[in-house]
Parts: sequence; structure tokens; C-alpha cells
Amino acid sequence: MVQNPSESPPQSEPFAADLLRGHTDTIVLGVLRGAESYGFEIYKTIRDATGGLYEIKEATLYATYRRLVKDGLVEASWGDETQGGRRKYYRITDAGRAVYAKNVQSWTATQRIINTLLNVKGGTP
Amino acid sequence: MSSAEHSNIHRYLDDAFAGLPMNAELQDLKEEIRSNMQSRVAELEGQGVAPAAAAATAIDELGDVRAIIGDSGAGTNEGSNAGSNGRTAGTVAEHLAAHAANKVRPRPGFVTGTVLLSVIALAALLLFVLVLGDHGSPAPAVLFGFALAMCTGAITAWSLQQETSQNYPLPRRRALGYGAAAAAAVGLCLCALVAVAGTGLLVAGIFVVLGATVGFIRLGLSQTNRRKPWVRAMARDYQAQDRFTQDPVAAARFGIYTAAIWILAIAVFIWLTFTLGWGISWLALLTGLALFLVVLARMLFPAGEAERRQAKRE
Repeated sequence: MVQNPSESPPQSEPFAADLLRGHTDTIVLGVLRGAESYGFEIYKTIRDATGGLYEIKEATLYATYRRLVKDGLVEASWGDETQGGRRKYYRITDAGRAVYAKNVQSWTATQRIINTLLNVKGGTP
Repeated sequence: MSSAEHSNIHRYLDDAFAGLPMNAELQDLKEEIRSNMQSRVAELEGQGVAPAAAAATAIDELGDVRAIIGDSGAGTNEGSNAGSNGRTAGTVAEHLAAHAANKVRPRPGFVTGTVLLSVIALAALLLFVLVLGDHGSPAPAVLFGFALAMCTGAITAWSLQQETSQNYPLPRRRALGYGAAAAAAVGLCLCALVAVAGTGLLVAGIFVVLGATVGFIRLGLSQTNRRKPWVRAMARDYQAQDRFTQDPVAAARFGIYTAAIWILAIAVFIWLTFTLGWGISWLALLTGLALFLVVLARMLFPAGEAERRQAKRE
């Protein structure tokens, strides 16, 4: 995992960035679930979905893509753009869908447990 | 987009990748990063950011590019090591452990369900044949045929949705697609049989089979990987371990030997059949098979190969 030392602990972000970072693989799989996409588009989707709050480092994403491709959860292919740089597109595989579903399930369960343990009711302590 | 800011990104990437042995993987990565950075710069410029500032932002957002490169370099080394060392006792043990850890038992509900469906399908097939046999009315034949096709489709779709030790389950819609295509294919075969009783059914059957074929082709073309990571890792380790992949010349030689052996065996077989009859001539084919197996063994495991490999390594 790539971590920029300047943005570690005493941070102003109102959420746990390292916790989010731990789910990068699943987040990318989730983005790709709808349609195939390329690096910058995936980056933008994640950034915009969080309202610009959470900007994942692109370096982290490249490591994620390589891992996902190696595990066969995602397939990569070069696009045939005529102008500008060629784009590398990523497409989720059936194995990727299964892993995504499993991870979402385990996250939902974990979240419930943590909420119970922290005595959270309706999002406020 | 001006060329000044372009050269900025390009220079940055050239610097970052400088001095590295450029393999295909790194070249790929560089090209990918470059095109993504260009998109980001274009977006920033669209918001009215100056080209130089846009390039600086894109570079900053990229993060630690050396870390990505380092990862990829380590990855390739690992791969080549596994290739040259071959199968060691350690990797075999690892594979066994991986298999044990990933073992998935079939669900009892699925097993009972498929057995039941198979019994129903078998009964439908028997009744179908019986009804068809007496040349009775086609209505019950169509009914039983329909039941048989439905059972086949259901078993197919249900099986594909099961997770196994090696494979992830197929998504529901895709599994149903395969099931429908299988059902249609079975339906067609039966329709062809029933066609004895009416041509209308035959026409319907042709449409059904066309649909099934198109369905299978579409599903097959769009099918993606569903192998679990541990199976893929194992395949990677075993890849190119056999002699024919390592030595294409041996593979070509083996192909020619095989052709020669079988041409000879068949020629002798035909000759013996005409001169001495069936009682003896089959021995020619048997001899051919034995010869073929000996050649296969000699090709895959040449004598003295182990010592030679040992010598080469030292």
C-alpha cells in the first residue's frame, strides 16, 4: 500500500482514510460492476461519488489494478482511441463479481458488529 | 492542450522510468499512466487551470510512482524464478494446502434437487419414447419433451450457479441464459423426433435451435474468467513445465513420428484385413498404439535428461 506520510495520522478528514484504503479492491470492483472503464474514469468515479472528500492516490489504484488482473478478477485490454493516448480498459470477470458480492456481504456484517459494539443508534453516538 | 504541459508529464514519466530495464509490463504501465495523466490534465484545463499548474497537480495526485514500479519489478522477478526452478516439494505442498483451504462441499439441497430433477427428466424421456413408439397423438409427446427440456435447463442453470472448489458461481442471469439455451437445444432434438407426427413442429424446432445456437455463441463469446485465484496461481506454477512447451522442436518431431506410425499401422491393418482377415489384422493397430506410447514416453522423458539439466544448472 502506498501511503503518503504527509497525510497520515493527525488528519482533518472526517473519516478513517486507511479503513477506506483497505477496501480499495472492492471499491474498484464495485465501480467496474456496471460497465468497463479506464484508469482516470475509475479515479473520477470514486472521487465524485464521495463528493471530492476522499481522493484516492492514483498510485494506489495502479497497484490495485495489477492485483485484480493477476487474480483474474478483472480483465485488461487496450482501447483503440484514434486521438490522444490509448486507454487501458478494465472489465470485471465472473470471478470478480463473486468476490465483490462476498466482500460486500462481509462488510455489511462487519459494519453491523462494529455499530453494535460502539452502541451506535441511527448514526449518532 | 499545449505541448509545453505535455512535455512536462512526459519528462516526469521518463525520469521516473529512467534506468529501469524496460520490459513489456513496464512499458504498458508507463503508457497507461501517461494516458490517464493526460485525461486529468485535460479535465483541469477545462476548469481553467493553467497548463503548467495542471501538470503539476496531475503529478502530485499520482503519488509515489516509484512504489508502483518497484512492485511491478518484484512481480516479474518472482515469476521468472518460479519458472526456472520448476516444481519443488514446497510448491506442491503449497498447492495441496491451497486446495484444502478452498474446498467447497456441494450443498445438500442442490444435490437432492438435481437428483430429483434428473429422475423426472429420465421419466419424461422414457414416457416420451414410449408415446412416440406407438405412434400415438403428438400432444403427450410434446408435453413430455417440454418437461425434459425444462429439467435439462433447470439442472444446467442451477449447476452453473454453484460455487465449487475451483470456480466461482456464475451470475444468476448468465446461468439462466445457459440453462435456457440448453433447454432449447434439447427441445429441438425432441421436436425433430416428433416431426414424424407433424411438420409444423419441425419448423418450430428449427427456430428453437437457431435461438439456442445464437444464445450459446453469445454466452460463450462474452464468458469471462471464473477461476479462483488459487487455481490460477497453480496453473501459473505448472505452466510450461512439460517438455513440449519448453522444446517446440521435440513437439514437432513427435508430431511427425505420430503421423508416420499411424499411417503405417493403418496401411498394414488394411493389407492384413484383405490378406489374412479380421482375426489377425487388429494386431497392426495394437502394435501401432504400443509404438505410439513408447515414442510419447521417450519424447516427454528423454533418457539422461535429469543429469543434463543438473549439469546445466551448475
